[in-house]
Amino acid sequence: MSVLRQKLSDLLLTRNKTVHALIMMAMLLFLAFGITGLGVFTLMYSVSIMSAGHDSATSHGISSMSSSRLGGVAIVMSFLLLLIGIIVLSPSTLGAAVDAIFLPAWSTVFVCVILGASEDFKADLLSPYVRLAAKLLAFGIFFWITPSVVPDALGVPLLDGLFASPVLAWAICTLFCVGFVNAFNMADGANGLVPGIATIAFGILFLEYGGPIEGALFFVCLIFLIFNVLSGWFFLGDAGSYGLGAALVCYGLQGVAQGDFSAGFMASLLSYPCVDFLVSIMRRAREGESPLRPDNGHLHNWLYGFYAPKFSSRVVSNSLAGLTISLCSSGVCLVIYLSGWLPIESNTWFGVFALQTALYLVVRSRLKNTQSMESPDTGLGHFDLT
Amino acid sequence: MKKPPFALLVGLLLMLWGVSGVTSMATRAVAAGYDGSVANNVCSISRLALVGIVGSSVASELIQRDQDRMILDNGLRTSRQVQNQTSPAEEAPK
Repeated sequence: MSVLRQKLSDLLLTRNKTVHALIMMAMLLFLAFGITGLGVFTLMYSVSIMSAGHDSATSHGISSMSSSRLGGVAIVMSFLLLLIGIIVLSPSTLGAAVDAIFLPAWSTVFVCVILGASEDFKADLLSPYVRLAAKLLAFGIFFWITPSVVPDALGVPLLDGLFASPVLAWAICTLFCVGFVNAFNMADGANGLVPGIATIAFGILFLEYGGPIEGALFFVCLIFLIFNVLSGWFFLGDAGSYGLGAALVCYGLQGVAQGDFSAGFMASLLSYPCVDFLVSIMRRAREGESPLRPDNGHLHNWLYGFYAPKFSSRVVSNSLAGLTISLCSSGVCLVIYLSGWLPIESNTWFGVFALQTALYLVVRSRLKNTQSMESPDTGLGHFDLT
Repeated sequence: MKKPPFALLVGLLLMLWGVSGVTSMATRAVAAGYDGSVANNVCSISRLALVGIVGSSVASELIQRDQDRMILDNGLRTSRQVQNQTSPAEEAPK
Protein backbone atom coordinates (compact mmCIF):
# COMPACT_ATOMS: atom_id res chain seq x y z
CA MET A 1 0.00 0.00 0.00
CA SER A 2 2.78 2.38 0.93
CA VAL A 3 4.56 1.55 -2.33
CA LEU A 4 1.40 2.37 -4.25
CA ARG A 5 1.00 5.62 -2.32
CA GLN A 6 4.61 6.51 -3.00
CA LYS A 7 4.21 5.80 -6.72
CA LEU A 8 1.03 7.86 -6.89
CA SER A 9 2.73 10.69 -5.05
CA ASP A 10 5.71 10.54 -7.41
CA LEU A 11 3.38 10.61 -10.38
CA LEU A 12 1.36 13.60 -9.19
CA LEU A 13 4.20 15.64 -7.76
CA THR A 14 6.61 14.98 -10.56
CA ARG A 15 7.81 17.93 -12.59
CA ASN A 16 7.46 15.88 -15.74
CA LYS A 17 5.32 18.04 -18.01
CA THR A 18 4.32 15.03 -20.09
CA VAL A 19 2.65 13.31 -17.14
CA HIS A 20 0.89 16.53 -16.14
CA ALA A 21 -0.36 17.02 -19.67
CA LEU A 22 -1.62 13.43 -19.78
CA ILE A 23 -3.46 13.78 -16.47
CA MET A 24 -5.00 17.09 -17.59
CA MET A 25 -6.12 15.57 -20.89
CA ALA A 26 -7.57 12.50 -19.19
CA MET A 27 -9.56 14.66 -16.75
CA LEU A 28 -10.81 16.96 -19.50
CA LEU A 29 -11.85 14.07 -21.71
CA PHE A 30 -13.56 12.26 -18.85
CA LEU A 31 -15.60 15.39 -18.13
CA ALA A 32 -16.48 15.88 -21.78
CA PHE A 33 -16.94 12.28 -22.91
CA GLY A 34 -16.92 10.09 -19.79
CA ILE A 35 -15.57 6.54 -19.88
CA THR A 36 -15.91 6.41 -23.67
CA GLY A 37 -13.68 9.46 -24.04
CA LEU A 38 -11.15 7.94 -21.65
CA GLY A 39 -11.20 4.79 -23.78
CA VAL A 40 -10.47 6.69 -27.01
CA PHE A 41 -7.80 8.72 -25.20
CA THR A 42 -6.12 5.55 -23.90
CA LEU A 43 -6.21 4.03 -27.37
CA MET A 44 -4.73 7.19 -28.92
CA TYR A 45 -2.08 7.35 -26.22
CA SER A 46 -1.12 3.72 -26.82
CA VAL A 47 -0.74 4.43 -30.55
CA SER A 48 1.27 7.58 -29.83
CA ILE A 49 3.91 5.65 -27.86
CA MET A 50 4.41 2.99 -30.51
CA SER A 51 7.89 3.00 -31.99
CA ALA A 52 6.50 2.94 -35.55
CA GLY A 53 5.86 6.37 -37.01
CA HIS A 54 8.02 8.06 -34.37
CA ASP A 55 10.16 11.10 -35.11
CA SER A 56 13.08 11.95 -32.85
CA ALA A 57 13.24 15.31 -31.10
CA THR A 58 15.98 16.49 -33.45
CA SER A 59 13.95 15.86 -36.59
CA HIS A 60 11.43 18.64 -35.87
CA GLY A 61 11.84 22.35 -36.06
CA ILE A 62 9.38 23.13 -33.28
CA SER A 63 8.91 20.12 -31.12
CA SER A 64 11.57 19.68 -28.45
CA MET A 65 10.34 16.16 -27.67
CA SER A 66 10.03 13.02 -29.72
CA SER A 67 6.71 12.85 -31.52
CA SER A 68 4.44 10.47 -33.35
CA ARG A 69 2.71 11.04 -36.67
CA LEU A 70 0.27 8.16 -36.26
CA GLY A 71 -2.61 10.42 -35.23
CA GLY A 72 -4.49 9.56 -38.41
CA VAL A 73 -4.00 5.86 -37.76
CA ALA A 74 -5.34 6.35 -34.22
CA ILE A 75 -8.36 8.26 -35.57
CA VAL A 76 -9.11 5.50 -38.08
CA MET A 77 -8.75 2.79 -35.40
CA SER A 78 -10.99 4.63 -32.94
CA PHE A 79 -13.59 5.40 -35.61
CA LEU A 80 -13.71 1.80 -36.85
CA LEU A 81 -13.90 0.41 -33.32
CA LEU A 82 -16.77 2.76 -32.49
CA LEU A 83 -18.64 1.77 -35.64
CA ILE A 84 -18.03 -1.95 -35.10
CA GLY A 85 -19.19 -1.51 -31.51
CA ILE A 86 -22.35 0.26 -32.64
CA ILE A 87 -23.10 -2.35 -35.34
CA VAL A 88 -22.39 -5.36 -33.13
CA LEU A 89 -23.92 -4.10 -29.90
CA SER A 90 -26.84 -2.13 -31.28
CA PRO A 91 -30.11 -3.81 -32.23
CA SER A 92 -30.45 -1.34 -35.10
CA THR A 93 -28.95 -1.03 -38.56
CA LEU A 94 -27.02 2.11 -39.43
CA GLY A 95 -29.04 4.31 -41.76
CA ALA A 96 -26.00 4.97 -43.92
CA ALA A 97 -25.32 1.26 -44.44
CA VAL A 98 -28.19 1.00 -46.91
CA ASP A 99 -27.03 4.03 -48.89
CA ALA A 100 -25.81 3.14 -52.41
CA ILE A 101 -22.98 5.69 -52.17
CA PHE A 102 -21.76 4.39 -48.81
CA LEU A 103 -19.47 1.59 -49.99
CA PRO A 104 -17.79 3.39 -52.97
CA ALA A 105 -17.28 6.58 -50.95
CA TRP A 106 -15.74 4.90 -47.92
CA SER A 107 -13.63 2.63 -50.14
CA THR A 108 -12.14 5.77 -51.73
CA VAL A 109 -11.49 7.24 -48.30
CA PHE A 110 -9.87 3.95 -47.27
CA VAL A 111 -7.54 4.03 -50.30
CA CYS A 112 -6.46 7.55 -49.31
CA VAL A 113 -5.87 6.44 -45.70
CA ILE A 114 -3.71 3.52 -46.87
CA LEU A 115 -1.67 5.83 -49.13
CA GLY A 116 -1.11 8.21 -46.23
CA ALA A 117 -0.36 5.43 -43.75
CA SER A 118 2.32 4.03 -46.05
CA GLU A 119 4.07 7.40 -45.82
CA ASP A 120 3.61 7.57 -42.03
CA PHE A 121 5.07 4.14 -41.38
CA LYS A 122 7.90 4.41 -43.92
CA ALA A 123 8.77 7.78 -45.42
CA ASP A 124 9.09 7.86 -49.24
CA LEU A 125 7.81 4.32 -49.60
CA LEU A 126 5.72 5.68 -52.48
CA SER A 127 6.85 8.69 -54.46
CA PRO A 128 4.56 11.77 -54.47
CA TYR A 129 3.68 11.11 -58.11
CA VAL A 130 2.65 7.49 -57.43
CA ARG A 131 0.43 8.67 -54.59
CA LEU A 132 -1.02 11.38 -56.81
CA ALA A 133 -1.77 8.84 -59.56
CA ALA A 134 -3.35 6.43 -57.04
CA LYS A 135 -5.61 9.19 -55.71
CA LEU A 136 -6.61 10.22 -59.22
CA LEU A 137 -7.48 6.61 -59.99
CA ALA A 138 -9.45 6.12 -56.77
CA PHE A 139 -11.53 9.29 -57.18
CA GLY A 140 -11.90 8.70 -60.94
CA ILE A 141 -13.40 5.27 -60.33
CA PHE A 142 -15.57 6.61 -57.50
CA PHE A 143 -17.17 9.31 -59.67
CA TRP A 144 -17.45 6.95 -62.61
CA ILE A 145 -19.47 4.35 -60.68
CA THR A 146 -21.48 6.86 -58.61
CA PRO A 147 -22.35 9.74 -60.96
CA SER A 148 -25.09 10.89 -58.58
CA VAL A 149 -22.38 12.41 -56.37
CA VAL A 150 -21.35 14.80 -59.16
CA PRO A 151 -23.36 18.02 -58.70
CA ASP A 152 -25.44 19.30 -61.63
CA ALA A 153 -24.66 22.91 -60.76
CA LEU A 154 -22.49 24.79 -58.28
CA GLY A 155 -24.09 28.22 -58.49
CA VAL A 156 -21.09 29.62 -60.38
CA PRO A 157 -22.13 30.48 -63.98
CA LEU A 158 -18.85 29.51 -65.69
CA LEU A 159 -18.49 26.22 -63.82
CA ASP A 160 -22.16 25.37 -64.30
CA GLY A 161 -21.61 25.54 -68.06
CA LEU A 162 -18.76 23.04 -67.75
CA PHE A 163 -20.81 20.78 -65.48
CA ALA A 164 -23.40 20.45 -68.25
CA SER A 165 -21.10 17.90 -69.88
CA PRO A 166 -20.98 14.69 -67.80
CA VAL A 167 -17.41 13.83 -68.85
CA LEU A 168 -16.13 17.32 -68.03
CA ALA A 169 -18.01 17.25 -64.73
CA TRP A 170 -16.42 13.88 -63.92
CA ALA A 171 -12.92 15.17 -64.77
CA ILE A 172 -13.38 18.41 -62.80
CA CYS A 173 -14.70 16.59 -59.73
CA THR A 174 -11.84 14.06 -59.84
CA LEU A 175 -9.20 16.79 -60.12
CA PHE A 176 -10.90 18.91 -57.48
CA CYS A 177 -11.06 16.05 -54.97
CA VAL A 178 -7.42 15.06 -55.45
CA GLY A 179 -6.44 18.72 -55.18
CA PHE A 180 -8.49 19.14 -52.03
CA VAL A 181 -6.98 16.07 -50.35
CA ASN A 182 -3.51 17.45 -51.12
CA ALA A 183 -4.58 20.87 -49.89
CA PHE A 184 -5.74 19.35 -46.60
CA ASN A 185 -2.39 17.60 -46.26
CA MET A 186 -0.50 20.78 -47.11
CA ALA A 187 -2.41 22.78 -44.50
CA ASP A 188 -1.55 20.27 -41.78
CA GLY A 189 1.38 22.15 -40.36
CA ALA A 190 0.31 23.41 -36.95
CA ASN A 191 -1.29 21.80 -33.90
CA GLY A 192 -5.06 21.99 -34.02
CA LEU A 193 -5.30 23.47 -37.51
CA VAL A 194 -6.53 20.59 -39.67
CA PRO A 195 -8.00 18.66 -36.69
CA GLY A 196 -9.85 21.86 -35.70
CA ILE A 197 -11.25 22.39 -39.19
CA ALA A 198 -12.24 18.70 -39.41
CA THR A 199 -13.92 18.81 -35.98
CA ILE A 200 -15.96 21.89 -36.91
CA ALA A 201 -16.90 20.40 -40.30
CA PHE A 202 -17.97 17.04 -38.87
CA GLY A 203 -19.84 18.85 -36.08
CA ILE A 204 -21.87 20.75 -38.67
CA LEU A 205 -22.40 17.58 -40.73
CA PHE A 206 -23.58 15.83 -37.57
CA LEU A 207 -26.02 18.64 -36.80
CA GLU A 208 -27.27 18.45 -40.40
CA TYR A 209 -27.54 14.69 -40.87
CA GLY A 210 -27.54 13.40 -37.28
CA GLY A 211 -26.14 10.03 -38.31
CA PRO A 212 -23.91 7.80 -36.17
CA ILE A 213 -21.03 8.02 -38.66
CA GLU A 214 -20.86 11.82 -38.51
CA GLY A 215 -21.31 11.61 -34.72
CA ALA A 216 -18.42 9.14 -34.38
CA LEU A 217 -16.17 11.23 -36.66
CA PHE A 218 -16.95 14.42 -34.74
CA PHE A 219 -16.32 12.66 -31.43
CA VAL A 220 -12.99 11.10 -32.52
CA CYS A 221 -11.74 14.30 -34.20
CA LEU A 222 -12.57 16.38 -31.11
CA ILE A 223 -10.68 13.99 -28.83
CA PHE A 224 -7.71 13.99 -31.20
CA LEU A 225 -7.84 17.81 -31.35
CA ILE A 226 -7.56 18.03 -27.56
CA PHE A 227 -4.72 15.47 -27.55
CA ASN A 228 -2.92 17.22 -30.41
CA VAL A 229 -3.21 20.74 -29.00
CA LEU A 230 -2.36 19.92 -25.37
CA SER A 231 0.37 17.35 -25.95
CA GLY A 232 2.20 18.76 -28.95
CA TRP A 233 3.77 15.35 -29.64
CA PHE A 234 0.97 13.55 -31.49
CA PHE A 235 0.40 14.65 -35.08
CA LEU A 236 -2.21 13.79 -37.67
CA GLY A 237 0.22 12.49 -40.28
CA ASP A 238 -0.58 11.76 -43.89
CA ALA A 239 -3.08 9.00 -43.09
CA GLY A 240 -5.15 11.46 -41.08
CA SER A 241 -4.97 14.41 -43.45
CA TYR A 242 -5.65 12.27 -46.53
CA GLY A 243 -8.43 10.32 -44.83
CA LEU A 244 -10.21 13.31 -43.25
CA GLY A 245 -9.78 15.35 -46.45
CA ALA A 246 -11.23 12.55 -48.58
CA ALA A 247 -14.15 12.00 -46.18
CA LEU A 248 -14.98 15.73 -46.09
CA VAL A 249 -14.77 16.18 -49.86
CA CYS A 250 -17.05 13.15 -50.40
CA TYR A 251 -19.57 14.50 -47.88
CA GLY A 252 -19.31 17.97 -49.44
CA LEU A 253 -19.90 16.89 -53.02
CA GLN A 254 -22.72 14.55 -52.05
CA GLY A 255 -24.37 17.29 -50.00
CA VAL A 256 -24.09 19.81 -52.84
CA ALA A 257 -25.38 17.24 -55.38
CA GLN A 258 -28.39 16.47 -53.13
CA GLY A 259 -29.04 20.16 -52.49
CA ASP A 260 -28.46 19.83 -48.73
CA PHE A 261 -26.12 22.82 -48.79
CA SER A 262 -24.54 25.15 -51.33
CA ALA A 263 -21.06 24.87 -52.81
CA GLY A 264 -20.36 28.29 -51.30
CA PHE A 265 -21.07 26.92 -47.82
CA MET A 266 -18.54 24.10 -48.25
CA ALA A 267 -16.03 26.54 -49.76
CA SER A 268 -16.42 28.80 -46.75
CA LEU A 269 -16.26 25.91 -44.26
CA LEU A 270 -13.05 24.56 -45.80
CA SER A 271 -11.67 27.89 -46.93
CA TYR A 272 -8.24 27.72 -45.32
CA PRO A 273 -6.92 24.54 -47.00
CA CYS A 274 -8.31 25.65 -50.37
CA VAL A 275 -6.95 29.21 -50.28
CA ASP A 276 -3.62 28.23 -48.74
CA PHE A 277 -3.13 25.51 -51.36
CA LEU A 278 -3.83 27.84 -54.29
CA VAL A 279 -1.69 30.67 -52.88
CA SER A 280 1.19 28.24 -52.14
CA ILE A 281 1.05 26.73 -55.65
CA MET A 282 1.05 30.20 -57.24
CA ARG A 283 3.87 31.39 -54.97
CA ARG A 284 6.05 28.40 -55.79
CA ALA A 285 5.33 28.69 -59.50
CA ARG A 286 6.28 32.38 -59.41
CA GLU A 287 9.53 31.54 -57.62
CA GLY A 288 10.28 28.79 -60.14
CA GLU A 289 10.01 26.07 -57.47
CA SER A 290 8.24 22.72 -57.74
CA PRO A 291 4.63 23.07 -56.58
CA LEU A 292 5.08 19.84 -54.58
CA ARG A 293 8.13 21.07 -52.65
CA PRO A 294 7.36 21.81 -48.99
CA ASP A 295 8.28 25.24 -47.64
CA ASN A 296 7.60 27.53 -44.68
CA GLY A 297 5.70 30.26 -46.48
CA HIS A 298 2.21 29.30 -45.33
CA LEU A 299 0.08 31.62 -43.23
CA HIS A 300 0.36 29.25 -40.25
CA ASN A 301 4.17 29.54 -40.48
CA TRP A 302 4.02 33.32 -40.40
CA LEU A 303 1.49 33.25 -37.57
CA TYR A 304 3.75 30.93 -35.61
CA GLY A 305 6.55 33.44 -36.19
CA PHE A 306 4.24 36.09 -34.71
CA TYR A 307 3.40 34.05 -31.59
CA ALA A 308 6.83 32.48 -30.99
CA PRO A 309 8.55 35.51 -29.37
CA LYS A 310 5.60 36.00 -27.04
CA PHE A 311 5.62 32.51 -25.48
CA SER A 312 8.50 30.49 -24.11
CA SER A 313 6.86 27.21 -25.09
CA ARG A 314 6.97 26.23 -28.75
CA VAL A 315 3.96 23.97 -28.26
CA VAL A 316 1.86 26.91 -27.04
CA SER A 317 2.86 29.07 -30.02
CA ASN A 318 2.28 26.20 -32.43
CA SER A 319 -1.12 25.34 -30.97
CA LEU A 320 -2.18 29.00 -30.84
CA ALA A 321 -1.26 29.44 -34.52
CA GLY A 322 -3.30 26.39 -35.52
CA LEU A 323 -6.31 27.19 -33.34
CA THR A 324 -6.37 30.85 -34.40
CA ILE A 325 -6.58 29.89 -38.07
CA SER A 326 -9.14 27.11 -37.64
CA LEU A 327 -11.36 29.33 -35.48
CA CYS A 328 -11.05 32.37 -37.77
CA SER A 329 -11.83 30.34 -40.92
CA SER A 330 -14.13 27.38 -40.21
CA GLY A 331 -15.08 28.77 -36.78
CA VAL A 332 -16.65 31.86 -38.39
CA CYS A 333 -18.64 29.55 -40.63
CA LEU A 334 -19.81 27.59 -37.58
CA VAL A 335 -20.93 30.76 -35.79
CA ILE A 336 -22.92 31.94 -38.84
CA TYR A 337 -24.42 28.47 -39.24
CA LEU A 338 -25.43 28.15 -35.56
CA SER A 339 -26.86 31.65 -35.37
CA GLY A 340 -28.86 31.03 -38.56
CA TRP A 341 -27.78 34.27 -40.23
CA LEU A 342 -27.45 32.52 -43.57
CA PRO A 343 -29.26 29.42 -44.79
CA ILE A 344 -26.75 26.76 -45.79
CA GLU A 345 -28.38 26.40 -49.20
CA SER A 346 -27.66 30.04 -49.99
CA ASN A 347 -25.08 31.10 -52.56
CA THR A 348 -24.35 34.15 -50.36
CA TRP A 349 -21.78 31.87 -48.70
CA PHE A 350 -19.55 32.60 -51.69
CA GLY A 351 -19.40 36.16 -50.34
CA VAL A 352 -18.26 34.83 -46.95
CA PHE A 353 -15.63 32.75 -48.77
CA ALA A 354 -14.44 35.88 -50.64
CA LEU A 355 -14.11 37.74 -47.32
CA GLN A 356 -12.15 34.84 -45.80
CA THR A 357 -9.83 34.84 -48.83
CA ALA A 358 -9.28 38.58 -48.51
CA LEU A 359 -8.58 38.20 -44.78
CA TYR A 360 -6.06 35.44 -45.54
CA LEU A 361 -4.20 37.59 -48.05
CA VAL A 362 -4.18 40.71 -45.87
CA VAL A 363 -3.04 38.91 -42.70
CA ARG A 364 -0.37 36.93 -44.53
CA SER A 365 0.94 40.06 -46.21
CA ARG A 366 1.05 41.98 -42.91
CA LEU A 367 2.79 39.15 -41.06
CA LYS A 368 5.26 38.64 -43.88
CA ASN A 369 6.14 42.32 -43.98
CA THR A 370 6.65 42.57 -40.22
CA GLN A 371 8.86 39.45 -40.18
CA SER A 372 10.59 40.04 -43.51
CA MET A 373 13.88 41.12 -41.93
CA GLU A 374 14.48 37.73 -40.43
CA SER A 375 13.68 34.26 -41.74
CA PRO A 376 10.86 32.72 -39.69
CA ASP A 377 12.21 30.04 -37.39
CA THR A 378 9.15 27.93 -37.80
CA GLY A 379 9.87 24.47 -39.05
CA LEU A 380 6.13 24.00 -39.11
CA GLY A 381 6.10 22.60 -42.60
CA HIS A 382 7.13 19.11 -41.60
CA PHE A 383 3.93 17.63 -43.05
CA ASP A 384 3.96 19.79 -46.09
CA LEU A 385 4.14 16.88 -48.51
CA THR A 386 1.75 15.81 -51.16
CA MET B 1 5.08 4.14 -21.23
CA LYS B 2 6.43 0.96 -22.80
CA LYS B 3 3.34 -1.23 -22.90
CA PRO B 4 1.12 -0.05 -25.76
CA PRO B 5 -0.74 -3.41 -26.17
CA PHE B 6 -1.96 -3.26 -22.56
CA ALA B 7 -3.04 0.39 -22.93
CA LEU B 8 -4.63 -0.50 -26.25
CA LEU B 9 -6.65 -3.28 -24.62
CA VAL B 10 -7.76 -1.01 -21.78
CA GLY B 11 -8.77 1.68 -24.28
CA LEU B 12 -10.66 -0.83 -26.38
CA LEU B 13 -12.58 -2.19 -23.40
CA LEU B 14 -13.48 1.30 -22.14
CA MET B 15 -14.66 2.30 -25.60
CA LEU B 16 -16.82 -0.79 -25.99
CA TRP B 17 -18.22 -0.21 -22.49
CA GLY B 18 -19.25 3.30 -23.51
CA VAL B 19 -20.67 2.23 -26.87
CA SER B 20 -22.57 -0.57 -25.17
CA GLY B 21 -24.06 1.98 -22.77
CA VAL B 22 -25.12 4.29 -25.63
CA THR B 23 -26.70 1.46 -27.61
CA SER B 24 -28.58 0.26 -24.54
CA MET B 25 -29.83 3.84 -24.16
CA ALA B 26 -31.06 3.75 -27.76
CA THR B 27 -32.75 0.39 -27.12
CA ARG B 28 -34.50 1.79 -24.05
CA ALA B 29 -35.62 4.80 -26.10
CA VAL B 30 -37.10 2.49 -28.76
CA ALA B 31 -38.83 0.38 -26.09
CA ALA B 32 -40.28 3.50 -24.47
CA GLY B 33 -41.58 4.69 -27.84
CA TYR B 34 -39.39 7.78 -27.85
CA ASP B 35 -41.39 9.38 -25.05
CA GLY B 36 -38.41 11.53 -24.07
CA SER B 37 -37.55 9.59 -20.91
CA VAL B 38 -34.17 8.62 -22.37
CA ALA B 39 -33.35 11.44 -24.80
CA ASN B 40 -34.22 14.19 -22.31
CA ASN B 41 -32.36 12.61 -19.41
CA VAL B 42 -29.09 14.31 -20.37
CA CYS B 43 -27.79 15.06 -16.86
CA SER B 44 -28.17 11.77 -15.03
CA ILE B 45 -25.02 10.84 -13.09
CA SER B 46 -24.60 7.35 -14.56
CA ARG B 47 -24.99 8.70 -18.04
CA LEU B 48 -22.51 11.52 -17.47
CA ALA B 49 -19.99 9.00 -16.14
CA LEU B 50 -20.52 6.85 -19.21
CA VAL B 51 -20.41 9.43 -21.99
CA GLY B 52 -19.63 12.77 -20.30
CA ILE B 53 -21.25 16.16 -20.74
CA VAL B 54 -20.70 16.55 -24.48
CA GLY B 55 -21.22 12.85 -25.21
CA SER B 56 -24.54 12.83 -23.36
CA SER B 57 -25.88 15.66 -25.54
CA VAL B 58 -24.53 13.95 -28.69
CA ALA B 59 -26.15 10.65 -27.68
CA SER B 60 -29.52 12.38 -27.09
CA GLU B 61 -29.25 14.07 -30.47
CA LEU B 62 -28.51 10.72 -32.12
CA ILE B 63 -31.45 9.04 -30.40
CA GLN B 64 -33.86 11.86 -31.30
CA ARG B 65 -32.75 12.14 -34.90
CA ASP B 66 -32.54 8.41 -35.52
CA GLN B 67 -36.13 7.69 -34.55
CA ASP B 68 -37.53 8.30 -38.01
CA ARG B 69 -35.08 6.19 -39.94
CA MET B 70 -33.75 3.48 -37.65
CA ILE B 71 -34.49 -0.06 -38.80
CA LEU B 72 -34.28 -2.73 -36.16
CA ASP B 73 -32.32 -5.88 -36.97
CA ASN B 74 -35.42 -8.02 -36.56
CA GLY B 75 -37.03 -6.14 -39.45
CA LEU B 76 -39.39 -4.10 -37.30
CA ARG B 77 -39.66 -0.37 -37.66
CA THR B 78 -39.74 2.02 -34.75
CA SER B 79 -43.04 3.12 -33.28
CA ARG B 80 -42.63 6.68 -34.62
CA GLN B 81 -42.11 5.34 -38.14
CA VAL B 82 -45.23 3.21 -37.84
CA GLN B 83 -47.20 6.27 -36.66
CA ASN B 84 -45.87 8.37 -39.55
CA GLN B 85 -46.55 5.68 -42.12
CA THR B 86 -49.64 6.47 -44.14
CA SER B 87 -51.97 3.55 -44.62
CA PRO B 88 -52.72 2.44 -48.23
CA ALA B 89 -56.42 3.17 -47.66
CA GLU B 90 -55.65 6.82 -46.87
CA GLU B 91 -53.47 7.12 -49.93
CA ALA B 92 -56.06 5.67 -52.29
CA PRO B 93 -57.75 8.22 -54.59
CA LYS B 94 -61.28 9.11 -53.65
